[in-house]
Amino acid sequence: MHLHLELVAPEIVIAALAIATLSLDLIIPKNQRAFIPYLSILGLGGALVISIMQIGNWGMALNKAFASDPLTAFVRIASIGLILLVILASLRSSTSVGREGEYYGLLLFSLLGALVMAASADLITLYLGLELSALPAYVLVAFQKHRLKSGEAALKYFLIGLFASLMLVYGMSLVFGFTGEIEFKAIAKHLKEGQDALILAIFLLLGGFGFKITAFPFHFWAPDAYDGASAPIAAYLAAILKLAAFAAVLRVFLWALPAVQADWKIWFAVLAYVTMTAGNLMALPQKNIKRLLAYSSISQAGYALIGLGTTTQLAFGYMLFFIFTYMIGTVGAFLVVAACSTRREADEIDDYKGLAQRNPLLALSMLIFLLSLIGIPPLAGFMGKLFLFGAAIEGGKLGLALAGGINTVISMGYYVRIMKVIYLDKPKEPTFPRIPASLRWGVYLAAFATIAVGIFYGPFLDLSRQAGRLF
Amino acid sequence: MKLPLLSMITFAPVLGILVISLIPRGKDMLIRRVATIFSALPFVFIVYVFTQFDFGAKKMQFIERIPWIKQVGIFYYMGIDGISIALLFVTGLLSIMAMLASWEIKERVKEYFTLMLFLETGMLGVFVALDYILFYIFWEITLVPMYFLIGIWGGPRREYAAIKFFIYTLLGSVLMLLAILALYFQADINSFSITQLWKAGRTFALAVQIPIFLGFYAGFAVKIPVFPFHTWLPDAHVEAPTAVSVLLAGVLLKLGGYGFFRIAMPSFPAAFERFVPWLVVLALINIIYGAYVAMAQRDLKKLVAYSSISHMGYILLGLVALNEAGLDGSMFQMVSHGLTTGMLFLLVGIIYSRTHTRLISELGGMQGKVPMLAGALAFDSMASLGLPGLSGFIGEFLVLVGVIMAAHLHPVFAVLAALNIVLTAGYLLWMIQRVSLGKIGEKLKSITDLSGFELAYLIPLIVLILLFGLYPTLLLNIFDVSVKNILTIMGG
Repeated sequence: MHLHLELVAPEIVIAALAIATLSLDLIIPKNQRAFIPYLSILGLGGALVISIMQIGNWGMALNKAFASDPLTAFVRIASIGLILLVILASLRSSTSVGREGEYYGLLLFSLLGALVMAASADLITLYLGLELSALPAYVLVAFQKHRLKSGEAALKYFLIGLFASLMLVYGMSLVFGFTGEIEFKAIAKHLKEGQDALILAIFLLLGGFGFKITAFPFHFWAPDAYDGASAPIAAYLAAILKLAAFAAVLRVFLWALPAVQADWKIWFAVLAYVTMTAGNLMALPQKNIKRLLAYSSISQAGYALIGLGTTTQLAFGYMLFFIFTYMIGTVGAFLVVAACSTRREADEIDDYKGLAQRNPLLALSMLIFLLSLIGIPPLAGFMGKLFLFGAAIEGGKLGLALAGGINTVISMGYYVRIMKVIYLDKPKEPTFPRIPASLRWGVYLAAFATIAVGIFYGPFLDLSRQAGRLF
Repeated sequence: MKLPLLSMITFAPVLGILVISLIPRGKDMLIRRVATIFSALPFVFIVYVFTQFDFGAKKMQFIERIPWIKQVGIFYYMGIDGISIALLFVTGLLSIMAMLASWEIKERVKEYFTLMLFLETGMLGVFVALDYILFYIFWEITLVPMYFLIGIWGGPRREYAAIKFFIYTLLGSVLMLLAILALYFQADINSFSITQLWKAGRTFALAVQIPIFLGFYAGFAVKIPVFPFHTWLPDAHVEAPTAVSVLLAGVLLKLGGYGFFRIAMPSFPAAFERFVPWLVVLALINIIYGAYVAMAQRDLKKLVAYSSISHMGYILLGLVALNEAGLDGSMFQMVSHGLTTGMLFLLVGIIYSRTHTRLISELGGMQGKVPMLAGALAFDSMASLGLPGLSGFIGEFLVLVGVIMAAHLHPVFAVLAALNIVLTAGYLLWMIQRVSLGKIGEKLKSITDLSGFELAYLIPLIVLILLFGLYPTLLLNIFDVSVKNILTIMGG
């Protein structure tokens, strides 16, 4: 047995933290649980530091089930960094107060699952991670018990998620049946071209992962789930779970199934075309900001798929970097949504009328996130798109790059509409309710990160390029 | 240690934004003053750079080059030649005028001046950036303040005009971005340096040059704007507040022309030459169509907007002549058009703020009521229609000489462009006749003449228009060497 536990240190910390958080819920009386999230922040901060320190210390752990490589490090740093913002936004929110143990415990377990899924080197670990990330997420969506929408959304999300899992399990079992191996790289050695039934396995895997990364036509649960969940949880689903799913796709398709690349490569390109276009077109008429951001995140997943459709190492690396920049913008935007709904639910775009006059800093932050999501320089989202489209051109996929460019212009239609409502329209009421300081600073921190990553993106770019070279 | 003068020029307005953000809302007068001072700082630095600039050198000067993202060859790379410095001069000058003309803004003053300063940084940055990524950043960040400046402080149809402006320019710049990326990967020298990629672009096969050139063309043609991408311009101009119109016509349109000089021509000479027949026709459509449409306008501001389209056509026409006279003419026209049209928009803004109308039919008889205002309008119209002795004449004349001298262009193009001067005179003089002469219009009852404050920002423009018209060598010497250099580079 080669455990190499030191390579799994961040995951161990998070697992311990999750168990501790959940157990504290049993011992500590209800009115004294407010410290729990701070404990999580502290622990996650530690995990983040360990993750950064471990860069360069690569290897296989847990008896070759867990890969500690640049991709793992990239997912760790991006996910832990952003979940800290999600936690900041959840502090003192009516959703979590009084139930801190459950809320943060579930969030941490789900994060653990996402990290394991992204680092998995065999089918079993992958599936374990996937389920561990998904099951707490279903509960988190349902967490706002008083909201009817919340339960409905959770049920939809659960049933569809279950369906996706089944597709994945079936696909994996076929792959296992053909090769007798569960380890990705071992599967690749035994896999031969021309096995017709493998096509079925590929389609099942594509479909299953399609749900997880909200590729069209597997996207339809996302608007309901994001709308039903509280805004911080929606941010979590849209950002962290998506990144983990993309990482898992890389591992499964590039490590296990490279021999049949010809069979699946084209489908990623097709998914990229339809997902970005459909996401953008469906976002245009939205009236609810969470649903709009959901469709925006679908279209952004479409851009990310350009990386898989191009299928070069450079494109994989830049795809990861793009997803990271998208995550900052989307988490930031959802945090603003959380801030605007602290007193009462105000998720209609009309509720944002004149926000610039009611709360200038919040409005400015939202502006930065939206501009970053469009891809206006020098914000993070621009750099993401720049390198991703560049990789597509480098890989000879001019069509994908052009489609990405044209979709960027289409997407402007709805992003600018929010900007218009915030800055150009007259406010309905002159004042803005007080929002918790932690949430406010979470928003500012995200806005700062959007600008900072847009200018000092070198280290992230390096790590993502290293990750891309693994495949 | 040498001062990073170009960075100081570019980012002085950003410093102003930081200072303004510290001033509490409501202290409007203080905000106006601070914004104006910081908007003037770049001009002060530009004048200093002028004194140190070597006008005989071909090379880029005042270079600042710091690695930014080394892995992919992105540098913080700035530098200027004669072409950039001439346009920097116009930008710096018009920014001050625009700031002063903005003092009449009463609503959301803090946001307004913040956006104006931000816009100034973007415009200045485009002219000094020599790295494609840096160039693109500055190119794009002009969009956002423009959108809000038109959308918040504009006229009745401001939202439509603002979004139309945004969509058109974003489409153009996205295509340009793809072209930049294609150029980068095709050249494969791990560099985004504009000057280094000149050499690389020229070596591409024509079939490769053409699509990349077209990508850049989309970005530049929308800005100029070349027919049929021009429809955003009249809308944006009519709805924009005065100061924004001044910068839009005076500087932002020049970004397109500058792009041809800096990027499209030296990087892809073969592709450019291939498209000369198309470009010459498009330039003439701009010139003649713009003039005819201007003639039919009843709104003073729309008239000036369409006259801009017509005048910008000369810039493109000078470029396709592909000789020294033509390119010099283009550059001259860029500077001159910045001054004359900038001033026309200032005057229209002054008239509108006093009469609350821009309809030509509601004005009339200004000559008797407000002689200075009418005089300035007449003077500027003369400069714009190309009266010898004023700056507009030299640019158009050089362009025509360039076209006649160009062996690859039929002289009939020059004749058509020259005949258009009659049309220009037609709509401008007719406008003067209706606005300044005749019966005193209904809305002019309480009109007052130019104030000392307004004269203060108009007189420098009048002086420069006269100066460049009477002594064109002064301006030509600034960019002539660089223009020749571009031609040498294009020749291989």
